[in-house]
Amino acid sequence: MKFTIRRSLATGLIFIMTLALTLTGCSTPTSTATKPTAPKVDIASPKTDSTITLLTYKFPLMGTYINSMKDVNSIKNVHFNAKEVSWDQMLEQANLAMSSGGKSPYEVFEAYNRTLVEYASKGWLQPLDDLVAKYKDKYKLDDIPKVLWDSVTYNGHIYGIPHAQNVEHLFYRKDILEKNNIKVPTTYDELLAACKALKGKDTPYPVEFVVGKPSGLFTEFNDVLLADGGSWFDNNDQPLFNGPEGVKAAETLKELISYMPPSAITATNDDVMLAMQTGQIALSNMWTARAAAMEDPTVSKVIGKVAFAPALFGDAKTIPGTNYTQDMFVFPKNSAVDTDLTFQVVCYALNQENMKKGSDFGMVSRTSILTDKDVVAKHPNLVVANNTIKAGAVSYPKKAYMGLVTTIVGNDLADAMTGKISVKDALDKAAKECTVQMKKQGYIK
Amino acid sequence: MKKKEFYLFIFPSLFIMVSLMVVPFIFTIYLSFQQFSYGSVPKFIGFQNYIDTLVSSRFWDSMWFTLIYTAITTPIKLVIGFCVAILLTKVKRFRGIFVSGALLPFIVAPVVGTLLFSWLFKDPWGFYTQILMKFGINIHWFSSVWSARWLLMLHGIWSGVAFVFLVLFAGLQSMPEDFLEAASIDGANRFQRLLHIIIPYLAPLFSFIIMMNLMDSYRLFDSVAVMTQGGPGSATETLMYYNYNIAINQQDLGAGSAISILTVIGIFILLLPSLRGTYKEYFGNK
Repeated sequence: MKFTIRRSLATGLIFIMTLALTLTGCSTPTSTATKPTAPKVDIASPKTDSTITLLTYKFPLMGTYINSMKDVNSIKNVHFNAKEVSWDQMLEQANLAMSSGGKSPYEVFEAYNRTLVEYASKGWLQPLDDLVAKYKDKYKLDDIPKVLWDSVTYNGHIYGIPHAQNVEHLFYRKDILEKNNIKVPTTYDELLAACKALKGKDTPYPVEFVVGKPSGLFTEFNDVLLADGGSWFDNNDQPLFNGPEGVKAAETLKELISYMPPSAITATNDDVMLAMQTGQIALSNMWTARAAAMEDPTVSKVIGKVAFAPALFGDAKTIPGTNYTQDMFVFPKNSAVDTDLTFQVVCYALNQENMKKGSDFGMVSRTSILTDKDVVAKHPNLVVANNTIKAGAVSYPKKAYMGLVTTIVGNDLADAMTGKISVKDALDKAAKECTVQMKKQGYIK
Repeated sequence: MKKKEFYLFIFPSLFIMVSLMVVPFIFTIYLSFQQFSYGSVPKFIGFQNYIDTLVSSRFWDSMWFTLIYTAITTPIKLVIGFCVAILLTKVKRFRGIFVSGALLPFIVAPVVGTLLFSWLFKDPWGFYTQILMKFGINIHWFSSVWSARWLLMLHGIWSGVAFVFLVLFAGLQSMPEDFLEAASIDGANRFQRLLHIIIPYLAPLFSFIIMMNLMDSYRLFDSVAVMTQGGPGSATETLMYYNYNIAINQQDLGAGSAISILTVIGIFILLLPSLRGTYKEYFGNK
């Protein structure tokens, strides 16, 4: 009897497993099935099978472009897919892919002004001057302003296709500031005063910035440093960021952190955006690309309550404390696929119609879209972002070593923010390490 | 067995060991004396990478935390795993279910397990964080130095106990019952049987487990990368995570190789007593 029961049980289990295996095999077909109906894409089919993989970090605007790029799957011999990872993972994988002796596993990379300089200086990128000239009319590339084409130019050659720009500025809860009679801050000192006034009122914490190490903390330090009249390096590549302006900037940041949630020192862009959306904070300094998410009905509890103001000024009152970045697509030299094809795939996704959709998620690159009345009316943050740029927002220094500096300064400053070492010691340590590593890696003599 | 046959039989394993372990190790030693980054040509710089590493306070901080992690988690895993193994030998009904449950942390993919574990303690919406807050206990697991360290150690204990249990349970199952019977007849109580029969019998397994745990703790990387990224600050930066930061993030691959070699030397020093014991046990009387 026992033997019969066990045998039945075993037979039953085997049957269930076989059935499950069969059912998974019959699931919805993927890439090998009939290609989906898609808009007609005016790109010639390549003679050989071409798989185009994009490496990018995950953000809403990129989703719009990726969805459009998938249309090229309707072209014979073309397969497109995207790998979306976290910001730091993207930087790491891009380095590994482009520096390897073999073919890159990715044909297109998302990059921005700092990484463009790093990659181009190492000879990893395909120059695009000929392709830009060839397809200028077909894809209306003149609609992208000269300032953005300059941002993708290194040593006289174009290396990227600009698709977006981004700048940090103030996000605030207008209802809470009005209720407490607080003027919208325009400087870091005013922000600190507002935080002091809002502490313990209306929201669990008054403010949160993206100060997770190393990139987030580095960026916020950069903002305050520039606002206080400081700079990174002198003309001989000697560090200046550990000077009096740098120490003051880091102390200001440390004081701001005391008003933030305890988890702030590990916070990413997504964490801070969520904190604002769920009413955990009243003030933040975020990228303008995050503005649309404040009105997302599926997540946001503060719809209609978040307003925007230009980036804060510091003591120097010369340029705003922000970081102006230009996002772009770049193409590795060690790509297995013809760059002409991948260039066209990317340009196809950056058409005006698609960018208009994308404008819901970020500050796109086409002038015709940024000046479109409907777009401007729908996205008041774009006016604020433009004003921040006009007020003198600058990008990181166009130096190949800035990636290295980001890691070193971000990590050492993180120790200062937890109180392990003083701010001055952290910056001096970072300055010394930067010089040693910059010489070691051949960036300076 | 003839010598020829012996070498023929061990050749496949030897070949795999040499090509996958010895050759990369020798190559790493070579790279540790070079200065190079992604896509650059290696340049010989002698012992500079070793000097830079040994004078770095961050290296010693990461070494210190790695040793603390090892010293705390190893005995706790041993005690808990042993207790669970002893208890489960007493269980007769549904033993299979309890054993499967005890082995669950072992079966879950490390990154998946670490991610889920970290979500349980996320501040402020983690499940356990919320429960603790109901009792008025506010622990900021990821932003407070020692909380983050304890969280990593807690995770290490949770994920490592299953292996300890598995080895000791197997050892207890294979233990002849005669010894325990004879001890009972001689009047030994439970505690005396445990102390004088069971533990000495399992001593070789304890050594093996301690050795494996020392090596695993020294190589700790995945839970740090997924849970804390070495933070807050550099509070939870282990040796391997420090190595990753230097080699991959700072792109100093020569220094990364030097740190790897120093780590191997460190593990070797820690395991020396155990290796000597094994050597003596096998060759000592010959």
